[in-house]
Amino acid sequence: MASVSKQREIELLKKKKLSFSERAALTWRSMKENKINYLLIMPFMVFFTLFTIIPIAASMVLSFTRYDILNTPIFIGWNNYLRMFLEDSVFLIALKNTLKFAIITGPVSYLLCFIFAWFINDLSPVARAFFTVVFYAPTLANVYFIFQYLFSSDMYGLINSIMMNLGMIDEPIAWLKNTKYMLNIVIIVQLWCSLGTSFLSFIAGLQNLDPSLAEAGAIDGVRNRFQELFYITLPQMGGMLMFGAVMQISSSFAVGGISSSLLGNPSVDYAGHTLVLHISDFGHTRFELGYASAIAVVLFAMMILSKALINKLLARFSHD
Amino acid sequence: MKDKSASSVLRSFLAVVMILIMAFSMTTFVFADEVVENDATAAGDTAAGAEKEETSTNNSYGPADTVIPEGSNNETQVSVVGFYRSGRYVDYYTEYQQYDVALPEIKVDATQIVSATAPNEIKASYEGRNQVVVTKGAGSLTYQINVSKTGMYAICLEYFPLLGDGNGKDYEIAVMVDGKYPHSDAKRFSLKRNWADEEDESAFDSVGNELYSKQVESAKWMTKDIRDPDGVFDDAVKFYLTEGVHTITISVNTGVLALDSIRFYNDGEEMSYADYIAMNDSKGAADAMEEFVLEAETYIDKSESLIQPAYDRSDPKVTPYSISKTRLNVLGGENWNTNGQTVNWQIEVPEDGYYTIGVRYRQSYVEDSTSFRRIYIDGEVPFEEANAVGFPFGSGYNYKVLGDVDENGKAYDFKFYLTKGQHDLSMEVVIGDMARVSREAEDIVYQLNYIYRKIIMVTGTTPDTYRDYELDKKIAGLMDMFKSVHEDMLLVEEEVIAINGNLGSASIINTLKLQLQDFIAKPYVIPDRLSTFKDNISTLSSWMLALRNQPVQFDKLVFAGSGIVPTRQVSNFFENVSHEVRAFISSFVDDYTSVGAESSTGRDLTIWVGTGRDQATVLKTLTTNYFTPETDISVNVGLVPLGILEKAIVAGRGPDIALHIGRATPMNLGFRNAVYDLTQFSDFEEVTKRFSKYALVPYTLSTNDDAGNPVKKVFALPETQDFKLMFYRSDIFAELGISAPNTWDELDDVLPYIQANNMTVGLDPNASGETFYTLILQSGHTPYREDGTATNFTEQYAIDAFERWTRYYLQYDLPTDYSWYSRFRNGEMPLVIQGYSSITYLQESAPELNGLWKVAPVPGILDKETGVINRTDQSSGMSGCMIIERTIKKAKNPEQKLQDAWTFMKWWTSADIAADYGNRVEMAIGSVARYSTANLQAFEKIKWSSDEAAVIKAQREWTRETPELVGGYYVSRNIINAFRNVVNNSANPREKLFYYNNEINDEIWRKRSEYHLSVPEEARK
Repeated sequence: MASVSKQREIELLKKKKLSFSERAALTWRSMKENKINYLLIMPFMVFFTLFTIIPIAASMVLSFTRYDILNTPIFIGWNNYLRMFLEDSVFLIALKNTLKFAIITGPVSYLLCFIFAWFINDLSPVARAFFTVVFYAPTLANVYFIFQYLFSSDMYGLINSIMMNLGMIDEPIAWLKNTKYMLNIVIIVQLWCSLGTSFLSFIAGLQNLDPSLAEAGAIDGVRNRFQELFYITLPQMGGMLMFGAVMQISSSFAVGGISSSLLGNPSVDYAGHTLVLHISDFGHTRFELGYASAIAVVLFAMMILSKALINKLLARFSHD
Repeated sequence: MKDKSASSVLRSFLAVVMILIMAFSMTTFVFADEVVENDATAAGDTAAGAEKEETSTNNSYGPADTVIPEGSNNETQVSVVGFYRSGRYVDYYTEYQQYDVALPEIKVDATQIVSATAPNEIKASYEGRNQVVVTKGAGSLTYQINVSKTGMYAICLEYFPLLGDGNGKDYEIAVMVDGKYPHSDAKRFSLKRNWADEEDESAFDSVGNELYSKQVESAKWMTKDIRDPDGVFDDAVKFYLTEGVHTITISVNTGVLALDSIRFYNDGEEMSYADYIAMNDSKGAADAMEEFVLEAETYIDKSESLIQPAYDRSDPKVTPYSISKTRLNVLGGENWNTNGQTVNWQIEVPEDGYYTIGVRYRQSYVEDSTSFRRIYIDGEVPFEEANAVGFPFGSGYNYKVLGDVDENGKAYDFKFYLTKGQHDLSMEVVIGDMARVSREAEDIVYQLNYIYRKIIMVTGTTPDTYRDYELDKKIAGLMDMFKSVHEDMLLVEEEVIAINGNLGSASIINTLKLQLQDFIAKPYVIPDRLSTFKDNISTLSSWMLALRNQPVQFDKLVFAGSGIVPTRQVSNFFENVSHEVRAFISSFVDDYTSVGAESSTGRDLTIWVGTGRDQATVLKTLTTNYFTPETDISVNVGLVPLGILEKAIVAGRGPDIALHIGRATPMNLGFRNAVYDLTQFSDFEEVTKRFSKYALVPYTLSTNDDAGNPVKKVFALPETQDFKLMFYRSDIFAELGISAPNTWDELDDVLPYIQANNMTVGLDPNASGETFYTLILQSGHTPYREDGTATNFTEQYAIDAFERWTRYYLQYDLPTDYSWYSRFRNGEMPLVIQGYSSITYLQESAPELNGLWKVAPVPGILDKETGVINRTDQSSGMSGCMIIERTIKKAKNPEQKLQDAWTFMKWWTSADIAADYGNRVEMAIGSVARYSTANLQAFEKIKWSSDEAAVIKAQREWTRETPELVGGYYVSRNIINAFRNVVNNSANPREKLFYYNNEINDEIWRKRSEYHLSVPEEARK
């Protein structure tokens, strides 16, 4: 086909060294050639640009300003970043907590997602559908409010009253107000509701495996399920694993909702403070949007870095 | 605390080991001697916690007779006096029941006053009556009567409500016989006023929606029996009067009225329906052949301004009918639900004869329950059965012909004999069949709570389930109390079954009954089941409450001559379908949101409300009916979550005025120049006089102007103001022999008595440290510097206050997290400090406690020099309204708009409108939502009783507002941090307060300098 040859021509041209104007002309030509493709991705690109790219760019710009929402932003250079790393002790707490979250909940929930998906995959279709809903429900419905009752500091709170009945404690513990327990509780709850999108994608991935490979493996002497898992199942699931890891680990940087609804924002002594909560504290409560944007930029950078790291780690499963 | 819990874990572990050893040694008799020793240590260990309490109890902080001595051989003497209540009307009536027979009537002319404390004037003729007495203020009127026959007399007053006092509240009436209250309920009678719509004719707005009429008091001569305030008696309240001369004192404690006569009577048994028919038959009454309809919303007047016509377009047969426009076509509903509320209609009867009365009604409010009404025709209940006519539950509209069920369980319709011409018809809310049950259930709830309290005084709220407390021996009379309650419950169960045919929603009675049987048979299971026992009590109590709720909505009344078949009034399937389809189609065509009067000049205001749908609807009603007609400014009301307010302002789509905004918002937006500074209006000073002196403090910013002179800017007007009161259980305090504390020192004194009985006190630390502020204010200082540029937390008085505050949680171990309501109710927390709006909450939801709790101002600090107790209280919540300058500036004619907005603010915070709004919201949501208005005059019109109002006003005198600081969000969070550090980790209070105080001040100064506001010297370093 003509267009195929033209594309090849364009690719050849790309490899040559060209001046900027030549390159622009080339790009324009290639866009015209592929206008159908551009048309097809346009709906997505419009929204992606409007609601993701522009806001990211805007917050990068705003991070160099002092902006209180109501008045015009004032350019203040690197001051926000200097303040963040040198003056703001709460930022360091938030950073520490976020990293703790990311390191603990990210990988653990990733593994949990995979293990549960693997287990469920062996069930009959009806049971599989049922358990998928059961495991996915906490993510969907945000039912973690139940933990507020479980961990209520009231002596009639569930855990307090059980422990008091058993004689383990003799006065109620302020689970959600005592810095000793707060972060750990949030991590537990976070794990409980973290079987999210990646869990679903693993289930989908496991369903689409080629059964003939497993059969071939059995004939060739796979002795147990774990061998099958490592040598046959996992290599087939590179894409899903990659997707899951990116989703799970980068989203664990963005935790905050559970912490703020269980512990309040700000929590006592910032014990459950994460970067996202720090952003919302500055953005909503303190009207310092410029500074909040600067934190957001740092968080964004951290996520990008973690993504690169995941790429490296999972390269061996990936087809690309 | 860490050590404590660790040691307790260790202890329980040891206990378990000991028990295991015990169990082991039981089976091996070889070591019998050692067993005894082990046994003793084990028992000692398991009960260690409890024993601690015992020792403290035996140390006897309290008067010996109130604390239960434990662990001794002497059998305890606990008074059971509080268990049986006495002196109430029900006890009084039971005592003199046999005198409740027909008696000769005594009529006293109201002018024959023997003595009076109420200022009054006798008028020869007044409003069509001769010789009446007109009161001019609160007080009593005393009369002398000569009783010819000993008996129980009902009292009937002929009175004329005067509009003079203007607050529109029901009269509070007290009756004394021979200078004494015959029973405790005699202090709290009430008499209703009379209300009507101002306009008789319907009015419509420009879109064609019908407008609500303004409610006005409509005075007329009224003849009313004195009835019990809770409606748990079917009959009028009766007073026992022996033969001879008596003085009767009638006190009118709120409002003024004119009184014509007082009638003492007892007509004996009322006429039964059979006799009524027989009597009329003998007069030659025949069936009527005509039918006529009375629209319920065309009433003449009513006892409550809150019972109003409403619109309902959910049913095809509601009249007047409109598929998409507002037509006021129904009456009542959830607002017409409390005992005593009456509506009066007038009917024109076309011919003499018997009529049946059918009502198209909706009672879809309370499931499985029947709402009752008492029927009056021409001011009289025609026969006994008309005292309580039921409207059973059903979805949507139902049609019911007034009637009853005969002995054989067969339903029959009442025939009312009406002569040709005009007649009055009234219906009054009564509790009906369940009145007696509700009364008895209230007693049961009270007694069970009493028992529960007695038990936790021994076991604590979390009993050791492995220990036998021998409750039956430790609490004198416990088994007798259980048996007595159990018997009462059997009776109630029987009655409920007799009325309803089954227990239905009252199944909790059965559950509790079985539990009590268990408790009686095996007292040792009580500690183990204490928490379910508690839950069962509260379930029973909410069931009892539900019995008193009697809502019903009327569409119309159909009077059909008993000789004809009445027209069908219930819609059929096809009518319903056609209605739904048309309603669906018209929902695309009609704009339901554009309610409202339009301005002829095109001036308009956009107003946002952030609270709730009901509030927004009420506001809309008020503006379309009053504001727009008066000022020719139309108003768009938007129900918007106010969290988006700032963003909307930036986007240029903000409102002109925002209402019900939180306390801190005006300041936050104000120093960022988004809100208009109200001091610029010339009549601002005038307007501020509506509020208490300190009410504007949170909205005031002190700074220097460009020339360096100090200025004050005010960004909002207050709408509500809430502050704390001390709630305490007077019954428990009496039982413990202690009195309510007036000062914190007194609180410290009584705390040990309370805690020795396993109860505690509720002092909520989570609400951003209000107690801390209160303590600072009471020491005569302020938490912040006068100009709001820094805190005063490093001063000695603040440190003292902080130490005192944290000490309550460290030394006295007060809970930091609790549900005050349930613990106050069951007595675990006989003293709590709560916002004053909690008064209605308790009244509504815990009627079994009526008269058992009191409110008082918060504890204070005694000034030793003057002897005055400083009871200053930090105001706990406030909402306000403000003008959004940013939006106004963008308007076509900003000057005009600004003036319009100010007009609205003045109108909105004015006494009449604030009170009207408050009462309407209360009508829509219930008295729990009583409006804590900031307008001092409007407060008088909100339905507080005079006692409650007195306490609230006393506390308000002491209430101070603390300014909202620039950067104020940093204060509360750091106080909480300091508090938690001290309470959780036993950190040094002074050190922590200093540390967090630095954080606070740094933030305040940073923020202030950012906006070029004045900062103190030390901040510039």
